[in-house]
Amino acid sequence: MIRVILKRIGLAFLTLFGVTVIVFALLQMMPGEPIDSIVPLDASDALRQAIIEKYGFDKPLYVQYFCWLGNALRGNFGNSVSDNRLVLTIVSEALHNTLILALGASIVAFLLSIVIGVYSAYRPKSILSWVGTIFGIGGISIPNYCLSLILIGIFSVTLHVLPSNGMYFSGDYSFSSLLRHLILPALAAGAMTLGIMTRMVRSSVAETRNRSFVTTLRAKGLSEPAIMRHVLRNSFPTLLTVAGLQFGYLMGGSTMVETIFSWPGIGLIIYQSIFTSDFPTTQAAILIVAVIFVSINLIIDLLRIVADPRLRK
Amino acid sequence: MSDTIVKTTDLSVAFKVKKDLVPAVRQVSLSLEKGRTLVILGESGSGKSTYMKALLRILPHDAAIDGAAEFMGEDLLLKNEKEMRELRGDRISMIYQDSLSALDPMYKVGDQVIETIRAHRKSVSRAEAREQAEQLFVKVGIPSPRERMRTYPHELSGGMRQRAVIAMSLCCSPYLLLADEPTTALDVTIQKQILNLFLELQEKDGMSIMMVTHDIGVAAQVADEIAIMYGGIIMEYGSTREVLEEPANPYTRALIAALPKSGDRGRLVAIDGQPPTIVSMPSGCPFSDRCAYATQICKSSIPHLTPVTQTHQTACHLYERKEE
Repeated sequence: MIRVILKRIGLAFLTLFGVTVIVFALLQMMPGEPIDSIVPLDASDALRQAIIEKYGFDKPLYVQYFCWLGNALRGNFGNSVSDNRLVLTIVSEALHNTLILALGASIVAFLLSIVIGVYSAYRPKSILSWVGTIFGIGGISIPNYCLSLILIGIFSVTLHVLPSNGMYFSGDYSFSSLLRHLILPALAAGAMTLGIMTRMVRSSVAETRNRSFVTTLRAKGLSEPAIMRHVLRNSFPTLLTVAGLQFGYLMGGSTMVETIFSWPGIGLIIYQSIFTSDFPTTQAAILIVAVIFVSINLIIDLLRIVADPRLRK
Repeated sequence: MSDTIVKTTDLSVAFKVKKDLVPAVRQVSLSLEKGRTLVILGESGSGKSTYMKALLRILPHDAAIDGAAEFMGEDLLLKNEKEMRELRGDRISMIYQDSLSALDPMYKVGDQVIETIRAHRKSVSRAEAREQAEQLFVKVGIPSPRERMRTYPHELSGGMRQRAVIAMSLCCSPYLLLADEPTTALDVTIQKQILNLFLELQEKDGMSIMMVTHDIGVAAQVADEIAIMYGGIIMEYGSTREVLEEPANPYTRALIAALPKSGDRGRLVAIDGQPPTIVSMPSGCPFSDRCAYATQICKSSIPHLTPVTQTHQTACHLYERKEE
């Protein structure tokens, strides 16, 4: 068991190493020299040269990479090119906001999908099962930017019940203010998760119900609720994996949704920093999103070992 | 008072396939006395497992059961789901072919036994149930039962797992044990041990066993009576000695002839053709397509069981004709 865990952790680190290389290479692939976003175009050659040396752009690429990596490991991503704040501050604020959005989206999506999915696995011909099918197909097929606009059209423009952008009303930083701003973007971002999860829960529970040990449970005289407990316990590891992956995606920040609702999360930061050629922020944001995604995957893998006795060896 | 534990009269099971009713078990009349063993012998698809599941009423919802089934004088088909649930695992319990898929992989085997005890004996505390489960493990010959109870199904060997399943089935001292190919998935040596365990337990507790198998050897070892099933009907029914030594039905004879004997070399004698599936059932005797003696009447009408001796019946038109 220890070996399995160590192997998973090792793999996670290997993945992260690959991610740092790609993130660093992205900068090199961006159009234009990185130096151009720092130095005004009409600066003197001497100034330009001085800055190139200060930033280390004259060094070989691999030296630049290891310098950057070393600093990144210490949490030092430098200052934002556009407003000179610490990149780490910008990214961690954005991350905090994305976490709120991701939690809002996933709590609603997970709870709803479990209720609808389990119910429709037991009653495939019920109305709720049809609702589940519609959610399932709809959630997966409607692009989230479309859904965002539809939601804004209905709830903000027509009904005037919910705000269409930002996280708070100006001057009102209360929880209820946050909650009212959260509802629409959370629905838009969570629709996909809801669709995927509903289908997964339904198929996983339905499949488990057909396994032969369920016949044994009936044959030994257990009541239907007691049998259901066994069924859910057996579906749990699969659902845990899907739920974790979905949460990982949501933590990656939905750039479209965050941009449309002006939600100052990590997706919006990545979008803005690319347009302002704020390369230290872009790099840091992508790297941190990747680290979070890999970590969530690692945690799921470890939790799966805890949840499924057959994986403990 | 008669000591009949279970008795079915013309019990039929049909599955709904689209709009048709497809018969899987046809008018099966069998009975089993206290403390005796009935083996239902047949090829796969002959309806033998379906028959047993029908007794316990654990077939899927699209199965229609017809006829009569009595257990200790009570009509099984009149009971509601709650009454059946009280019966299952308590007075009637069941054992399966594949013990690995029959147990819940997520729960420790001990807990699965405890759960069964507590489902039927509400007054028993968890600790008492644990104590009882441990004694059951000892009874079915599982060494170091306390440790074994804490293991998961996949951590046990096939033989140990089947013993654990048997322990679970015995937890409420059943009057009737239904065993669905309980030894098919096991090595021959383990098979022998498990069969001996059945006979031992039967001697101690006087329970009745109804076992389904396709293995004539197994039937010969444990059966008091044998019923030969084919295409959903009983072809021959009688004491083990009579059915195996003086078979009166061409199918039984072909089955016995197909057994490899020691010293036999070269090709095995097989029965030509394939057993019918429930959707391609001949309208007459189900064996008529493969039977070397089939006549016109065999193709058109289903034979009924007719007595050969007091303890032996066969369903064959040829036999009926011979009597006339």
